[in-house]
Amino acid sequence: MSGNPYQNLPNHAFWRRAVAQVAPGAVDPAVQAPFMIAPGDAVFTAGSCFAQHIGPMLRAIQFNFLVAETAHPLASAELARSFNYDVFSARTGNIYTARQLLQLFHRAYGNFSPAEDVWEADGRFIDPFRPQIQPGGFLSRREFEIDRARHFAALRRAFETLDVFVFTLGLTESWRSRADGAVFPLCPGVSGGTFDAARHEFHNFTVAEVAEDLRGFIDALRGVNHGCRVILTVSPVPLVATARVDTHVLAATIYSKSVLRVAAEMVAQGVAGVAYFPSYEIITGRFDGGTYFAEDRRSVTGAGVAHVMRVFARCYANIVAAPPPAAPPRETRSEAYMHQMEDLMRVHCEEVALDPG
Amino acid sequence: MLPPRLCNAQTRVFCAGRQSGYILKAEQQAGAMPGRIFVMGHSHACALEAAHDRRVPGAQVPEMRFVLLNDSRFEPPMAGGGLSPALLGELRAAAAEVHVSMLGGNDHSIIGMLNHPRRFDFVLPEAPELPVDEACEILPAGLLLGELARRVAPHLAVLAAYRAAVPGRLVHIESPPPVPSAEHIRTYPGIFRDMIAAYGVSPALLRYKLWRLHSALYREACARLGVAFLGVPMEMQDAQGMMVEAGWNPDPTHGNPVYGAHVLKKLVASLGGAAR
Repeated sequence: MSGNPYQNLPNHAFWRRAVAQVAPGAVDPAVQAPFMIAPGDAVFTAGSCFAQHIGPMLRAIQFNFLVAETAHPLASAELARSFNYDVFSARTGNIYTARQLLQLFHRAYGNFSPAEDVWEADGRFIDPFRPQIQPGGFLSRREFEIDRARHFAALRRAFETLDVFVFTLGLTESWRSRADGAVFPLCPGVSGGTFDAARHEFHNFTVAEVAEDLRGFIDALRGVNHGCRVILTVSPVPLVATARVDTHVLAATIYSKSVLRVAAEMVAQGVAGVAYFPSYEIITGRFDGGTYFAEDRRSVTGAGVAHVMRVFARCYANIVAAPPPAAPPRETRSEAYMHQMEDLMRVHCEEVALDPG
Repeated sequence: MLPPRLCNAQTRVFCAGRQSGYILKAEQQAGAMPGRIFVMGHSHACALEAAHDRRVPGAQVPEMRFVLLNDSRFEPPMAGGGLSPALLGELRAAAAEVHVSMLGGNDHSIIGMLNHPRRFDFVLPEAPELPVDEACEILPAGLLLGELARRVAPHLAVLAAYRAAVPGRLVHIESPPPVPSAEHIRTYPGIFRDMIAAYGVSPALLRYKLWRLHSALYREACARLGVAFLGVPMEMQDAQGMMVEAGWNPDPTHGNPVYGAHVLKKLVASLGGAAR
């Protein structure tokens, strides 16, 4: 009696065995990673807003999360985060599209200089490609230029030294310059700049374009870092809004995510050393009863992020136990210095008040 | 704990004078003396107080009363969102016509008087042409403003409560500019001796820029609260905007009685005859 191709497939190939009969928290759609991440491997993250969860996740499972632009210890964690330190591996802000990522690489190496490269208003300077990188923008043109130059330098160092690049694709809808095709993360006028239909146009990237941009980026990255590996993910976070007036935001979201998912699959299947990680599926799979989205049906809950983390740790590092609780941070030299200065300045001022002469 | 200190400048002299008297003599000639002045602040008020105390005998100077919040009796300075009963009592007792704030004034020094273990610099928004040490980390000015704002917030809360507690004119006096001389700071290190040995005095320009950021926060708060902001007397600043040598106190951060005398002169001039 002849069999059929499904007869000897593993459990993960069957919905009943891999989803329906598995506890929601144990669903693991990652199966087998094409490569592993060693404890010392430097992992760089970038991408859309869901990618903000990746860095903390990597830290929690004790991976080597590469941070190319670290917060100065003068700033509290909250203040530093408001300036987009420790959000991604560098102060890139959200990179929503593959084209934006590709252009960022070329800008960092001086191979692309967008014509529209700064927005000024009321003495503040906004980086069109990182419009929300710090509250209120840059306070002088010179500060903006110095910061951008150092940002690019930090990116070059990171690109050339990272071991694994994790990129989370977010959107296909974008706004770009008619002059040179520079893609903005946000539509001009939303968070700086002024929208001008003569200078700016909407573009919804196709599967072919996204896949081509991803390949272009990976080629460029491997031009400066031959052996690096790449993990692609798709953000499960729906669009805030669609620019397609004839399309419902839900339909636009599903279309956009579908394009990204297909493009990621094409690249992962076609380029060696590139993997697709199914965080999108974990969050949107509904096997959890919808608990992985918050009440706004858009934000991902901590439970969802924790599930992604478990699967990622198992898949890329064979970590199956819960990670040990993080040790309380030790006081750094900088913190000790500041505490000492605070104490001494208080006593210094008290002494002068007591005995001014 | 330091002993409590509340001084009525008319009856107590705290500082040995160097040469403040000549300034106040000039006020004698100017006429238009303001009414009784109440000064609430921290240690920078000492220079003003010392200048006042060392007036030339017989000179006509405003009657002043100083309350220093470094005094543990005034800790905490706030209660229930307003000034503490102890401070309100001082205000009532003083029955002043003009109120002055010299609250805070050294938070920029905590951040930048010495070389931070992770050395930094920044572009001063109001003077972006000033040199920047690109060998350091260059921090966003907004980040430093945010950190300074966190540090000065308790002082500004007291200023707001002070504003709410007193009618009429309230003047905040800008904290003194930094001493440009690292040598002076090393010579008079006070309690910072070991820290200076370990980290070194930071570049004067960095200290100056941080002071300007610090002053910008106070200036903005004053505008918001309806408090007059009195800047540093021009003659007390050198060409780079830092404190002239005549004003250096034998310590790393404060002005001396000469400096205080110039501030007092400017204060009196700014009040004109309106206070009386």
